[in-house]
Amino acid sequence: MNEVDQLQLPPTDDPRWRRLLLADQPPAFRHLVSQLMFSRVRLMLQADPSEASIAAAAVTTREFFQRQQHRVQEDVQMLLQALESHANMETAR
Amino acid sequence: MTKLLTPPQVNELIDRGEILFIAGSSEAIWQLKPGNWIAGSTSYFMGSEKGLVSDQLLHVCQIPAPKNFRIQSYSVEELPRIPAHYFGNGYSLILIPGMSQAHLEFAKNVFNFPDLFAGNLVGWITGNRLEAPADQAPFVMDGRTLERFDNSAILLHVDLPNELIAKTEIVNIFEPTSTYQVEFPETSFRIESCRINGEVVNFADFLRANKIDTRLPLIADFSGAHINVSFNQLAERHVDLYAPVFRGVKYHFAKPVPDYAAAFAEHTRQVSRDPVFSCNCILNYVYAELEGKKVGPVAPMTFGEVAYILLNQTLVNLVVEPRQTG
Repeated sequence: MNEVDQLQLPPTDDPRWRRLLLADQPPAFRHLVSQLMFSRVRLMLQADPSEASIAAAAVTTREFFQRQQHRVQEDVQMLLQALESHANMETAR
Repeated sequence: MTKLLTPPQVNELIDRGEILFIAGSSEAIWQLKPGNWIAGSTSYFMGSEKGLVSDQLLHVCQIPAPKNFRIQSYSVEELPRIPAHYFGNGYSLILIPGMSQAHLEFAKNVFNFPDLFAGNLVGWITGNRLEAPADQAPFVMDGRTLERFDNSAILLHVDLPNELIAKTEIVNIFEPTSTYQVEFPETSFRIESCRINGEVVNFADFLRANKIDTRLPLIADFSGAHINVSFNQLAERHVDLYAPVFRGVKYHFAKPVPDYAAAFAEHTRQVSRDPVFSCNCILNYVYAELEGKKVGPVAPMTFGEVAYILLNQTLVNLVVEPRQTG
């Protein structure tokens, strides 16, 4: 089994991605590459907040962490925690 | 391994077939033999003992144990294809001639390069002595052919063995203040009007009226990374910057740094100790008066730093370490 198979990120149509991408505060990523990638995605969404753009941002973010997990292992954990916290926030409403 | 060497010493490395990433004056670079190297112009360095200006010495980064490598130049139009040539596991070292169209295009559009973040992109913008005539263009050189470029980027793409992994780090000693929040209407190196705390103002007028210290950078928070943009020139009705500000990003002025060396020592403790390559900003060298002082790793002092995107007043480190397993 390769690294990509091992990482279980939610599918891109999971509503947690939307909440993560549009949240006021980004996850506390440690690696520069994750911080810049996530900022780029959020800037794109700021310029075009359409549903299609949000869907594309979810795909970009998911693909980055799937493919680059060997470089940013701590940030993958941070991402998973952030996705989980957004799920919990929704449950609490 | 990085160090300052004379051209004959560098030629010995070239003769041995070493793969080299070189910084130095035009005078020094032109003394080099053809070989597996790329070089860019600067005369400012942080040496092993102190900061210095030299047209005779070259900063040399010997690429350790690559699996493979590739040297390639990119015209302005070809810049977006840089990430397409990343190796699957490695890093890419970039040099861009300062104030060239390639420099400006890279800085403004790099965020749109496909797969930018799929590898490590690290390097710097070239320049000349600060007192050099304006008609002496900064340049980069392809060591294989000794071809000089004034308006193309040159890259050394490096492929690492599977047991190693590269990462890119930055050290920014500046912290943002919270008094003013600055937003810009477009992505640009030149600013006329902007929005400060929600009010539209002429940026040059605001800086003068509020006695903002333009030796300190603007800082933006990119999801936790503090990214600097430095002031170049305060004109009558506009402000020129050394990197573009981005539309949609909130910027803040920086707090003064009373003791640069102490701040640097504190911040560098938080990053890796043994980078393969480092570069630091000429503005840090000038404003903090680093000539004769030892601050940070052996490095060229550069006219813009690249860690994926263009940075100012920032130390960039490229680190190679064993891949974690399990």
